[in-house]
Amino acid sequence: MEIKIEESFADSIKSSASLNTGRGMVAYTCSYIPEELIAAANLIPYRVYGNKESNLADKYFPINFCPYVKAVWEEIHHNTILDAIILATSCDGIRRLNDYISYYEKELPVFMLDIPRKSDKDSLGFFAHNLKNLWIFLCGISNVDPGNTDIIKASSSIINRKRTLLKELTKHYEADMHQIIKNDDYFNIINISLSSETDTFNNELESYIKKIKSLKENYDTVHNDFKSNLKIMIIGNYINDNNFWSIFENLNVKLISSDICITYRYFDIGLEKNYEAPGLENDIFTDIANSFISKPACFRMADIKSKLNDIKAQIYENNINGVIFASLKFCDNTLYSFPALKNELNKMKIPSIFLDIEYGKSSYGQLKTRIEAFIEMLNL
Amino acid sequence: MGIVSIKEKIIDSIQNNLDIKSVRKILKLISNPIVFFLYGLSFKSVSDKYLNKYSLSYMREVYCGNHPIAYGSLFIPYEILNSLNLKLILPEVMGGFTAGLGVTDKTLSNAANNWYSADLCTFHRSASGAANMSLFPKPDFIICSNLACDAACKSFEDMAKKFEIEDRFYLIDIPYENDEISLKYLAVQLENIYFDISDKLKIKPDINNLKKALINSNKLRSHLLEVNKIREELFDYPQYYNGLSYILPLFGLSGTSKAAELYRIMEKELKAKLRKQIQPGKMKKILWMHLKPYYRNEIFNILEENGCRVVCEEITDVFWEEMDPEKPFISLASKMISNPLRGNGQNRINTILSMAEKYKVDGAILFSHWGCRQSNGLARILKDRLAEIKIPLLILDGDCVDKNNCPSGQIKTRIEGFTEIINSL
Ligand code: SF4
Ligand code: SF4
Repeated sequence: MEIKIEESFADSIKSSASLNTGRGMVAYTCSYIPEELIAAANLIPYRVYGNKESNLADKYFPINFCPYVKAVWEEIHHNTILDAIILATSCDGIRRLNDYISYYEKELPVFMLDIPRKSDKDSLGFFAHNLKNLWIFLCGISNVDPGNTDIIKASSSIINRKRTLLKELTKHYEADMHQIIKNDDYFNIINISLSSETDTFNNELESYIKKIKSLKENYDTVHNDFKSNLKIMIIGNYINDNNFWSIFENLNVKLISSDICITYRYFDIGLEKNYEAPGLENDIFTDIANSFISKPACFRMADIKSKLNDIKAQIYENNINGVIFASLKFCDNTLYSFPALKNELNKMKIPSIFLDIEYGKSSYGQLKTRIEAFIEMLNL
Repeated sequence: MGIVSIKEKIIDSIQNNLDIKSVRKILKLISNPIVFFLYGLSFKSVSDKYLNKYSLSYMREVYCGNHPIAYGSLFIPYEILNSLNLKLILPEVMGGFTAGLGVTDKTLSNAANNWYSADLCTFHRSASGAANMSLFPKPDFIICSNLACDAACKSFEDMAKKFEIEDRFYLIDIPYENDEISLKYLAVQLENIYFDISDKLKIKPDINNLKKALINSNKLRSHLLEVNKIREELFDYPQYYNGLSYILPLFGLSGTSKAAELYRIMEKELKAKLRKQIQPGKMKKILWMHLKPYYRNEIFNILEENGCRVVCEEITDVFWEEMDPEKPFISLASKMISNPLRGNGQNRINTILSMAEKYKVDGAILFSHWGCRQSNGLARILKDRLAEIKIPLLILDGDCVDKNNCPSGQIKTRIEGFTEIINSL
């Protein structure tokens, strides 16, 4: 029996599409931006997906510019329901996006969250300070008292429930070799989680996981045919593209431990612990800063060595057969990290391929051929 | 043997023997007094001659193997590194240098073989290739920053990994905002780097050396301010003078007395030119944004032939305040944080607009170096803002390092079209 995602998550999808929840909506662009602060200010956090189809952005940005930045710019142009947008200092592309919004879209409040590239004590304190400023900005949008930080705790617990559920979903997905959760379904669910009302999504995800569990139990007793025997790790940046995931729909592979912006980097965020060190404020912002700075790192952060060590550990632990390095085109942070990664993979004798993704405008036929050829090679 | 053929012979020899030993040999050869005398004759300006003489003796020191070496990205506070007597390699500047020597085909292909995507900036790709090919001495330290762009953080970290000096790799994380907390965050990083490098060099940090470096840097600044003031009036430049040729002393050698001296000489030379200038020229004035191609090219000649002259470059603007040697770290942090390429694009736009006004320019050119997201990403707003004050902007697509990515015919046509507009205004 197949579980249809559109049906299982119908209310969540509606909550992001119809937006008649009476709450304002704030777009954000990076997994280092804490959703809990947006939600605590009584606003719906919306990981802006971008409009991938139109070509307006080409009139503003150079041809060799991040397609995600262009898609976001495109969407902002047409999206009239946003109350604000939060950007992060992820890269030069986003820095420029902030300039374009400030110059050409003056009506839309924009906040640039400065995220340090390092994780030492000073960087942590600096990040906590920036988070506090973000909080003040958000409170200004929704007329909430910034002094009332208790509401952040309440909001954190809802967002953390979502993270825990997404981790649980991932555990089932990764352990499921019968493709009860199809590859593209898994990524679709994450995509829904990025833009829907959290409570609604949490409830629907909880029931979905229950259904999966019971299906799995029944399935295990009846079948013992493994559908997915190859384990592939996807490494890259903001790969959130249904067309791309649908390439994997009927392929006999499992996408394990994906290291991209919408998987572990998004939801593997520890419940915040009190972080106390001389010179640091002992407050909720320091705790959130600590949780986010210790989450699985993106390639933008310093310390490529420990990043590579994490990837190596994942590969060994999960018996990964091959790596697909998928980067949205023109992403310097990711592209500059590839040579070091490729070197390590070669040393480990793990086959890998590099894919340039155009975000919505890719030639999916070509990508499919390359992926299929890669998988065929792994099967030999 | 004519000067031109000496130069060609040297370049030929470098192209055919690409390794550190031959670079050393060549440096030794050019430093021979007779050869250098002949070589020096090819420089038309006193400042150019001084720069080349000084760069050459500096490179010999860098390559001699007797000094600790640091690699650094363009906008880090070199006053610190110079005060610690480190000899410096600026891979981005060296990327330009490889272009000048015509060896980029080889360095870029080495980078490509090592998985550097062709979509990345050629300064970094070429520098990585050159480092891989051991064209530079092995570094003892690598220091970089995300000012002005993301590229150095990653490409330099990769180099640190290759040279197995990850514990001697420093990333200066430049804040987005310019406020007290950001300044402090930056100053603490600089202070930590200073003491950590001293520690690793096993030297007792002598803060007086650092203060001296700031005093030298202040001298450079005041000469450069004068130079820029002169350039507001000057049309009659020494032949081949170009502010963009002085990137190494302006940034990498800041804090040294030699760099300050170079700018003193430049001030004197340009002042003398200004004194002799009989009447304001008829040339149209151009503001140049970003860097220029560092291989042989005709861009500036085409401009001249069409009645236009570059009178100012955004990168030679004095954007920072005089530093207080008694507060070195906060002063250096403040210098870094004032860089218009940091943070919000409005910083850069303000600088450009104020330069356009100060130098009374007739037009502007943004050299749109392939793969430079931070600079090219702002092109559209720059164009619109300059249009508001009736200054046309030419966005000239090309590549500062890879001549194959910069078709000369197209460049010529675009410049000629642009100068036609400027001349008709
Ligand atoms: S994909 Fe890369 S370039 Fe694009 S927004 Fe993300 S970090 Fe920036
Ligand atoms: S040209 Fe641009 S991308 Fe390249 S190093 Fe300079 S600022 Fe960075």
